[in-house]
Amino acid sequence: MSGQGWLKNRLVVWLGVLLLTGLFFYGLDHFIMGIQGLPLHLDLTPAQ
Amino acid sequence: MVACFRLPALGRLPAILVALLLVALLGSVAGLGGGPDNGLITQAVAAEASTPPAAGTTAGTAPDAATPRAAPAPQPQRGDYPNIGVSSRAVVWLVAQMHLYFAAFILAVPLFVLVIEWIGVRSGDPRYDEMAHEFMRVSMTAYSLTALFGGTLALALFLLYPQFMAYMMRVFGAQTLVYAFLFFAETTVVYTYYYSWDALRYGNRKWLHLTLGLVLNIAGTTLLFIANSWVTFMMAPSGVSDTGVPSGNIWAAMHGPLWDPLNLHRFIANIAFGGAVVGAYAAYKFLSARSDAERAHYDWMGYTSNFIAILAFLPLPFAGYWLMAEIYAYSQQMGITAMGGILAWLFVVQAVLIGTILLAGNYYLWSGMSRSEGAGRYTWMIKYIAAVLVVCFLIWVTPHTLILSAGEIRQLGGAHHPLLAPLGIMPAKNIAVNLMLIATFLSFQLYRRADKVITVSWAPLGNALVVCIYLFAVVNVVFAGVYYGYYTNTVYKVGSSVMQVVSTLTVIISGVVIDSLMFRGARKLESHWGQVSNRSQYALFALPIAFTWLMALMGYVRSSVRTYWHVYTIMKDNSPDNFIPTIGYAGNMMTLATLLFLLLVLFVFWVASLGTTRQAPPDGSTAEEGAA
Repeated sequence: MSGQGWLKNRLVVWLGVLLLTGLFFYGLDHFIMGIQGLPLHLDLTPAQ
Repeated sequence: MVACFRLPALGRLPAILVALLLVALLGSVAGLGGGPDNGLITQAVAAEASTPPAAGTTAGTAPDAATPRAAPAPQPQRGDYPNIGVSSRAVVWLVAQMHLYFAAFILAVPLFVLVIEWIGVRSGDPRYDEMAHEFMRVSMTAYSLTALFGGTLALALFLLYPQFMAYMMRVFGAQTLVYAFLFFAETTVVYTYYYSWDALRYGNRKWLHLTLGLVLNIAGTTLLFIANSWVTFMMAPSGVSDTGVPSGNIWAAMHGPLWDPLNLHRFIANIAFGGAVVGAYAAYKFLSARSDAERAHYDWMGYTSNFIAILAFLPLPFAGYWLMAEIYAYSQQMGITAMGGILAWLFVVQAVLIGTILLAGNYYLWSGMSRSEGAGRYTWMIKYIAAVLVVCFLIWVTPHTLILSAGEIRQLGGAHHPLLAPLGIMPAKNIAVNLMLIATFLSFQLYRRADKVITVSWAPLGNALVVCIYLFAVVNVVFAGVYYGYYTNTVYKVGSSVMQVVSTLTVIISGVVIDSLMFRGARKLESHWGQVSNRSQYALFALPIAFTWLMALMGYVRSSVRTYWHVYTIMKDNSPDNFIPTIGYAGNMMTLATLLFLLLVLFVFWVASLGTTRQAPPDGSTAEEGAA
């Protein structure tokens, strides 16, 4: 796909954005809990 | 003469003026942190404090106190409080509440007026300038009322609580004079700002006018922060010893543990409150308008007011949450008094009021969408947003512990309802509040999109991003509330509430940013200002009523957590009113204050309208003769 051609493929756009946004919130959860001294495991359960 | 007066090379003047005033202000504040002698007022108070206490009082100095300033806080007895025949607390409560209402209003209006004026300059659209001017006109009468209530409050406090006030003067010293100076500065600037509006309207003069607005807001916000330091000192004293001996550093007394969160909370709340009050003015003018042009103008004004009120209101619960968290951190007992004891029921009332605000604000936005021809694309979502709001509202108002008779407990099978009890605790409330805020922002975003056709090439990407952010934010809020709130320990329960707040803020901030970028070059659809339903205007009346009652309610909670202390743990309140009043009594006081304020606001609206009303000349005479 050249230039902004990938923007025309709705499926690619939605899947890409879904993945990126999910990663963003996942990272946000780890970051927010981490700065409070409450780290999480990869599956978001509390780390003891 | 004014029109002929030229202001050459004014380009740098505003910046210079601001710099000079800032230096003056900083100089004043820097002077607060001085040593044991902070100026005339301190000396006067010190001289007063050195006078031996009257017979029958325990107020006075410690035996080994070298100077009056080093004396501990006075401990007045019941007989030391003057009796004027009515409850001193009730008098001070009402007057302080009225002063706070009007002060909040007059401090808030210039903040958004300055922004609207700036938008007018940037866009070149004179309607913004006229609307900003009209907002200021509404607030001008309120200035006098603020000063009158402020003066009455000071007199009432000095008359009814003389030893407490003497102690506060001793702690804050010359800062009180800085406050008075700022009040003079603000008054001078506000009148100059308002009356020079037309004289400083174009070109460089407009920049001078904007600078005046900036100075006005700096002075007003500083006044707010100083007054806040007095109430936070009473709740969580700092800069004094355990017995109340001032350290001499006024900055330490000001910058207590609750000062920052209260400053933020009141600053945002004032803007929301001010927006709601001028929204009611716009609704009042809209409903009484006699021409389509007038209706269109006041419809637009009402929309702008609601925009300000709701946008400022969205982050407000988080600022309140921070304040309560700091109260808990300072004193768990104080926090539990607020949210776990007698006052806890008031948070259910608070939920009802905030729910009213959100429902009214959303209803106004949905009604307003009918102005635009493009709204049909989004109206299908309204019923789902309404459902979310109603369900979350019901969860928020569900109490945890009910006041029950023995028979009712038997019928219920315990002190808590078997199904609804889990909805009565904070994790459920946090989910409900965050979802209501997200839903309100969605209404707001749809409203803004209703009159536009987005034309940027990356619109599909932008839309996908917006939808996914909503989706994951909602999932995160629910997941954090349910999993960490109910299935992990308390530390994680509290910590996860920050995740929820940040998720909601992500929706709001990213929504504003993405929309701003997507609206570039967007095709505007026609909006029919003035064609909104009359019914929607009543939502604009509901907002300030709920805000006013809410301020009285939460002010009562904030003040009551001190229980029987004038200054928490340092100076006991031994007056006849040294107890938390019953909820019923407090409810009556709040309602009285709310009604009184609303009546005075009607007076303010009427005076503002009177300024633009001109009597028609008698038959057969010219306008000039009629005026003569």
